[in-house]
Amino acid sequence: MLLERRSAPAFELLVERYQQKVFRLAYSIIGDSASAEDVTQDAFVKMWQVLPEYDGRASLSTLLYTIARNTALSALRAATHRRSASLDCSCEVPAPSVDTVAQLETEKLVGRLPEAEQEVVRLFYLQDRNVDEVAQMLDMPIGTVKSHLHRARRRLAEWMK
Amino acid sequence: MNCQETERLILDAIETPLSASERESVDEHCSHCSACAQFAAVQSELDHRLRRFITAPALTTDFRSLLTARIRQRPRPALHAWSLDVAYGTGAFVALIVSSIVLPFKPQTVLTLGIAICVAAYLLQSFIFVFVDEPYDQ
Repeated sequence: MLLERRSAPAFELLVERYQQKVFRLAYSIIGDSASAEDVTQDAFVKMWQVLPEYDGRASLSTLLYTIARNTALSALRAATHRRSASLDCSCEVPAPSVDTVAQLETEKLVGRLPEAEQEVVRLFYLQDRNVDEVAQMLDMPIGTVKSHLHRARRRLAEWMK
Repeated sequence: MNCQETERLILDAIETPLSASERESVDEHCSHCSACAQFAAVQSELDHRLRRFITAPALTTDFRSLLTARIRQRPRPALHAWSLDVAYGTGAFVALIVSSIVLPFKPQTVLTLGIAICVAAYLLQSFIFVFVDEPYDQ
């Protein structure tokens, strides 16, 4: 139904079913919830636009995740560019709590990982530690996801010592 | 079981639960290998921290309404912007050829006048589209 006539109710169902997953995928790449939400919006708008040309060779979820991943990577590149252009920002940051410090330390450690490992680690925990789901969302073989996870955990453990 | 296999099973256990025999082998190895016991403890602490701090944020409540509004705002144009120009050009070309054959004047005069009128009409139409109507910027 969605394919034949780009039906709005069917698209609503698609959004309902995948909005959180797409949001988490974007968040795992960007690491900022406001930007991840913008990327999620953009991904669904692009999905709506490409639906008339969709030939059914890949599953809808694969297409949607590919669009979301590419949109998130473009947004990340743009954000990195903007950050490097405004490094002289002297914003005041409130004193963090003990829990916030632990969270920041963990985020800092994860942020030191190579990009592919960061993405896999974040998505693994965001998706309730479901390797199959992570593999589908990142369009990677399960074995590759596992080796990224193992390498990342070894590195993180080393840095935690 | 050696240390390498034990470490692999310790890492595997975070993704999928180990079988009873695998669990037993890991426990047995760690009971006499302090390096692997330490590795297991660090991995467990790390897993705990990551589970605690990598949490899924929620979409804002107006996500769906904003998305619906954006989709409604951006209908796909039925025609490309250049298709009107192609239709105009083709129509003008056919009209000129037919006129130069049918009208009781010299074909050269008809063609020259026809081309001049077509160009003037095209420029007028472009002026109206750009400065008055803006039909593609909805």
